[in-house]
Amino acid sequence: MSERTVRVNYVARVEGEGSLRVRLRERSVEEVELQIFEPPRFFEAMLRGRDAKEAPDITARICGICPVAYQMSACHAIERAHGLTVGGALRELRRLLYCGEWIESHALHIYLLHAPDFLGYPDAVRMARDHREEVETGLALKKAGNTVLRLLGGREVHPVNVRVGGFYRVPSREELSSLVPVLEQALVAAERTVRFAVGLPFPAAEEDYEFVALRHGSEYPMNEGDLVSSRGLRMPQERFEEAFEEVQVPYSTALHARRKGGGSYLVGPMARYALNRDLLPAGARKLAEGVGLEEVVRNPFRSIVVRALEVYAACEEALRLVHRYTPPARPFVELPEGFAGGTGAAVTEAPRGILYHRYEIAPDGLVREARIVPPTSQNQARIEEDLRHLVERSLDLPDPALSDACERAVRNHDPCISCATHFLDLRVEHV
Amino acid sequence: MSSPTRPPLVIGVGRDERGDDGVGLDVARALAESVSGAEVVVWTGELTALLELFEGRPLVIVVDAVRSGAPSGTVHRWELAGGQPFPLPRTVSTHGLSLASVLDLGRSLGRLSERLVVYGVEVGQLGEGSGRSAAVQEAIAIVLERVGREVGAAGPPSPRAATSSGTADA
Repeated sequence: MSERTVRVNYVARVEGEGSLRVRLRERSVEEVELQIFEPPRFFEAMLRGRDAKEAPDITARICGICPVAYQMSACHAIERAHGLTVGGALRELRRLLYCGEWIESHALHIYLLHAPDFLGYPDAVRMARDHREEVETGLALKKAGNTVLRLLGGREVHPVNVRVGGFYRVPSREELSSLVPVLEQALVAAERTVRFAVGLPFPAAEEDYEFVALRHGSEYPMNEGDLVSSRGLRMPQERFEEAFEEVQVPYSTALHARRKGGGSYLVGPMARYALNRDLLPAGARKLAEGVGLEEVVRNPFRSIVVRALEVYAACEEALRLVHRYTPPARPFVELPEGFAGGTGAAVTEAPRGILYHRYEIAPDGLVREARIVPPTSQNQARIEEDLRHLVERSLDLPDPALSDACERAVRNHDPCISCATHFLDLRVEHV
Repeated sequence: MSSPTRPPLVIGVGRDERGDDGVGLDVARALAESVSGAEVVVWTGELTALLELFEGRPLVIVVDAVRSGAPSGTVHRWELAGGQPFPLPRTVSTHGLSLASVLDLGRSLGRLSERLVVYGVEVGQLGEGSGRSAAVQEAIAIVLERVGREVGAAGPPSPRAATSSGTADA
């Protein structure tokens, strides 16, 4: 009888914030436990008793990489509680803001976190020595995304210009036109990124995912759409809780989301692409065909290609939105008067998958209850299944190699786990 | 080449909601009110974007929380000059680069300031909403005094520097 335990403290900055434990007995995988610290629970409690209109700014602080996603889900949920729909130029500005976030978030993951795995480097620093041009491309794309965020959001970190009903201030046509050369350059870099990603060497893997994403009638999903899945689910997004539930697991503060009556599911770029390929902007669709990207990607390691394609799609869509922009008459729409209290829920597509918010709001506008289900907790159970399969295929690897392989498998899904803190985990002494 | 007119830059990084992890932010906010001759940035976001702020600076000072096993409130100081590797271990995560990694990446790409100083304050409590510990609050005053002295020693403020203090995230 032999027992092996492999531990991966892959968020080295914060021990215990995110870690993985795999226990093997003989040649079978006994346990796979992905441990994640999840900040939304704290924010849900913090929101109770606050003015609902504060929710977009408060929840934006959950993540330094995808604050727009939190702002968008919060705005839509609160507007839905008030029976308000925001359309026209304001709707398009929100979509443009989301494009900026997808570009910066995906570029970071592709070049600085994921690409080193395929090129045989321990990290982006070592990769930059031999692949400076690629790393510079990643930083340039990231900067382009941040430029969009800064112009529309007021700043790239935790944008301050978003409010329920729209924006505090909207850009003039001239201001928005300043993005054209930035986005045109980014589009070129994004095409290079897709070709770079598709040429990487990928390990063989095939997973039987249930993909879940939004699907909108006429556009690749960001802010709007029904909830759909690759196994036949289709329902209005505000009914999320009828189809999905969160369960507590003893080893993680993050709740595991599951399909009610079903199992794990996957959200994020692979799911969006599988369920919305036909709705990609024309250039992105053509590029996908040109590089031979399969219609449904089931090898999680190839998620980097889909992510790259979404960067291209976001640049293309952002340019379209900028070109057709006419400033709205007012920067925001007022909430209707006479609110008697109510509940609103909304789902939007964060870079790493669907993000659900629900707010129960009292007649005085204060939040009675908030619920936030981030994409990472939805993917957590599914990532564990990926890991279980990977370990079963890799039992002959020595522990260090197995540990590395597991870390890479987690990284396939860009989990949002280490944005909770920023402190350095030091192992050398300096006085 | 750095422009002689660019003032020193002080960047405080961290997370407000995570107890002592917000120490860098506190230092930066206080400096924004008190120091002249430097630009000040409070940074709660992803860290690689900081490299855009470094270019052309004669001096950048970063203040962050650290954990090395020393008593909480201990103040560390590192200085990088001449292109040598940064004396902090690189760390890897699945979703973002650590400050040490970002600084090393900046060095690799030639994007750092001429002089780079990092102040690290040893953390104690990190629970959500736990606020700053007493030891870290004491350390804030020490870091403020030392950073203020370093900014002063970097030279008289240029006309631009005297009016450019501000925060990216207040």
